[in-house]
Amino acid sequence: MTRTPAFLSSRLEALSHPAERSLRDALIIEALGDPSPAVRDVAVAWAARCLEPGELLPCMADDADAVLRNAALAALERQGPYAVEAVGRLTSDPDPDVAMFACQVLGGIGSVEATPALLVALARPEVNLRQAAAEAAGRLRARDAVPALISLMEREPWLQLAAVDALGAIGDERAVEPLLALVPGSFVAAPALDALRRIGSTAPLARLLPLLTAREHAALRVPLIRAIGGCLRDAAPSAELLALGRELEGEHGTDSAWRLLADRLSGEDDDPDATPAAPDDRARLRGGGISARGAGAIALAAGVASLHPLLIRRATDADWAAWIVPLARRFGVPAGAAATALLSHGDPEVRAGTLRVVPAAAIGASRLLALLADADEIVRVAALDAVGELADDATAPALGERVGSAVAAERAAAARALARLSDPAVAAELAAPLAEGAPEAATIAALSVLRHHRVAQLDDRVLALVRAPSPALRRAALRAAAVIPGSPAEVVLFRALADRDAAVQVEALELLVGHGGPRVRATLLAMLGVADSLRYHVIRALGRLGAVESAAPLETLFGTAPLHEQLEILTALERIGNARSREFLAECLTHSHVEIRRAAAQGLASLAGADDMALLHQLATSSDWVLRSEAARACGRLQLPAGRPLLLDLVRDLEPVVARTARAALAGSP
Amino acid sequence: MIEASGADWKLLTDLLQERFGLHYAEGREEILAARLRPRLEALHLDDLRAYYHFLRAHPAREEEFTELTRRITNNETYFFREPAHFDAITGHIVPAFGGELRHRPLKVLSAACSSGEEPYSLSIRLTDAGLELAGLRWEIDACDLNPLRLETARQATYEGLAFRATDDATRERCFRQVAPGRWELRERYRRQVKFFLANLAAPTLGVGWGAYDIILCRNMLIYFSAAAFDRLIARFAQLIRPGGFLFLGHAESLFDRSTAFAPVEFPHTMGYRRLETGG
Ligand SMILES: C[S@@+](CC[C@H](N)C(=O)[O-])C[C@H]1O[C@@H](n2cnc3c(N)ncnc32)[C@H](O)[C@@H]1O
Repeated sequence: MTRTPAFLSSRLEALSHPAERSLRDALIIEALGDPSPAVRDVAVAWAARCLEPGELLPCMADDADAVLRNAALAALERQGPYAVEAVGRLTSDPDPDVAMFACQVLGGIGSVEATPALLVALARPEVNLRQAAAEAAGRLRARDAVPALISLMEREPWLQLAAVDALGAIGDERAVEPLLALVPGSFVAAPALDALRRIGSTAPLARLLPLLTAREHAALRVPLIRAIGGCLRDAAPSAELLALGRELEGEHGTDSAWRLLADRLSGEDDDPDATPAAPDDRARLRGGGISARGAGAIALAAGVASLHPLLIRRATDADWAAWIVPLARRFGVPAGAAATALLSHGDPEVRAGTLRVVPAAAIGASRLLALLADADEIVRVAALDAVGELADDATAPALGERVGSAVAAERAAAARALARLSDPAVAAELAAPLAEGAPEAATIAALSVLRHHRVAQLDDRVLALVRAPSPALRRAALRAAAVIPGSPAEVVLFRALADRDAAVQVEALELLVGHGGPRVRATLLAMLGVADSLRYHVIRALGRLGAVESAAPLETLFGTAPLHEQLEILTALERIGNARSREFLAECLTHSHVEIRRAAAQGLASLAGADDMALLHQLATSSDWVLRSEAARACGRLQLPAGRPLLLDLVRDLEPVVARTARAALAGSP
Repeated sequence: MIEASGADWKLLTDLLQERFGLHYAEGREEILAARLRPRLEALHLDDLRAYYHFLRAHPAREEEFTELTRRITNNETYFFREPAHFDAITGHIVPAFGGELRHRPLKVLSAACSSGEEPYSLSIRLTDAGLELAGLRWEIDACDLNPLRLETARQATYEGLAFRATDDATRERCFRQVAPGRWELRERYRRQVKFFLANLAAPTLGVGWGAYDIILCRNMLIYFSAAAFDRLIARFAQLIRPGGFLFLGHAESLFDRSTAFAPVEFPHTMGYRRLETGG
């Protein structure tokens, strides 16, 4: 029979008994060198948990057995901050290989406390060792290593690549000049450009811009586009940029820089290093790869008008818009006749994108109103949003008309825009959609305006609509009613708690929580006595209101409530957070149901303070990983010296989530 | 982003794994979060832990699990995907079963059939191979976890990418255009296929199902945890009669697992034969 991971782990588990410790440790070490990767994985977790770094270090020096060594390295890395000190001492080990492995482990752990140990290695003569130290310094983002890395880069051709990468990862401006010295002439010019991109300083622009159109450096164009894009992040308009723009417009041939920019802008995604791992991830990259964004930034900053349609059409995508719009506005492009031309471009996405990019005031009301009749929905919606930006009462009739549109997106945009106008304008336009017999969709859109912009003279109508036969209408009316001050509106919300539609009830409850106040709390408290499906929400609402007076009734209810309500009660008590609720939560730590114990621990961990170390210790040594994870979270939040030993133990937890939480907590240590 | 700690994510993804076998790699939380956000909003819950509690304890949790299956499954499929399997069935397996099929129908299970393209492709290929003319009958059972996909499957009307591997002639022959770009599969290919809802990770899976000659379970196990994978293969071993075949997607294999199946090579692909003993 082969040793399956389950078999091995059960053996290891059996051996984790203290009396058999030496046997257990020997078995772990043996399993670290097991030929099966699955077995080694289990052994690595146990080694990280049970062995001291000092016991693992000898495996690291074992030349003969690379499998064992790598497993030991993995275990040390998994120990994280716990191992930093012991491993850090090894960067001065006389054996350069041991020192090199130590650097690798420190890089994998990534705590910046290891920087001094890496500086020791960077100062040693062995090339491989310095290379490992440089890589590790990059992974740590060790700013203190920047001077050493710069001198390494300047003196050691062999180590340039490692140093350049590390400097890019660290992102410190001190590296800009030395990196620029490697562009365009050295064999690490492309990596140096990538490092400059990551640093993102504007300083290199003057030197980089002319290279983009230089034929002799055509091979560097893609890294240049990416680097310039990075450097433009905070750049201001300049004569150099405009000069580049003119030069780019001068040459559109197949081998031109202009063509490359155009390709990058039209490509779906271009960066091999940004290839999505799974189809689902593609959505995350919609914001564009690094070179597409670089090309876009250049097109805008250098005012390359012929590329603007390609770029601006992508502003209809929210991810792209988030970076295009601020950049375009900073550089004031497109403007004037160019903007006008884009607004009548044949591609609706270009028209819509232009409406997002160009400030509405620059386009003007009459032009925008004309675009409300565009053939394409996305253009009409963008135009409605732009009209909203104007906040001009003269546009009210046009907006009012769209509140009744058959297209949901148009109704919503018109409602958003209307909400920004004055009271009389809103009142005039909403009279029709709020009237008896108006189509439901229009009435709901009108109510959504009033939710953001109350108009006193329409209050009565809103309060009447709360009794409409359609649940969707009632919900929309309730939301609008919730912004009306005074008791008639509150009465309406209270009454809706007994609505025949569950969704309306919950909506009313949510709105009342927003109101708060003693009356709301008293009513909700009274509702605890009614065992219906709303009670679950009522409990939650009391918690959100932090209603201290509900602590005792909630505790009483706990005894007879079903599990889902019990869990909500614990969450509510956590939010209420007084001494009494804490006591109750602490009692629940011994409850028979695991989810109750966990919810109680979560509450206690959120409430724990400096005096609660004993409690955190109790959680940290629980057999339930959820409780241990709560302990790590609390220690991270509190950042007390007394929590450090707990975290150094939890960081080696067998359950990776606990170890990660503890590691993050330690990284936040003062 | 939904508010959640690492522990919250683990609790939820462990629950999904326990319930559906589906494994969520760490680091893909953002994607899962995007799919769950509308559910949290609909239920008025403000963090993942509350949602987890809902799924563990709320009286309406079963409805919510059903709601979830529509969101968290990858239902990508199309007609004549990995066609070498269909070639193996029509060209090698059916002829090899030979005389036996004169007395009873060929029984196939399309496990995780999504919107039906897979079982319908097989039905088309079996019809094209002239089985009916030779007096042979077949029945295809097809199941999936996602009720929306099954609804599409029962309607048998498809468009666009479903036909990415279908030539025009086949589409014209086997389908009827019902609207521009929308095609409905002709009745003769539909009648042998039966769809039903099933969770392939359920502990009671397969109770009361018949014995199959062939099971297709393609492009689902990649989403399964190792333990759920092993459990399902063991269950398939009980559902396939000795000498029957199992086909997995090209990224899935029984390599390095001890099972009741032996690999068999077919032109351009491989399948697994249920051994006469063991399992
Ligand atoms: C990518 S599709 C594969 C469809 C088809 N077999 C193919 O290869 O084209 C995966 C399907 O597995 C289904 N699925 C996922 N988990 C399942 C489970 N536990 N039980 C049944 N079906 C499941 C999904 O609903 C989805 O339709």
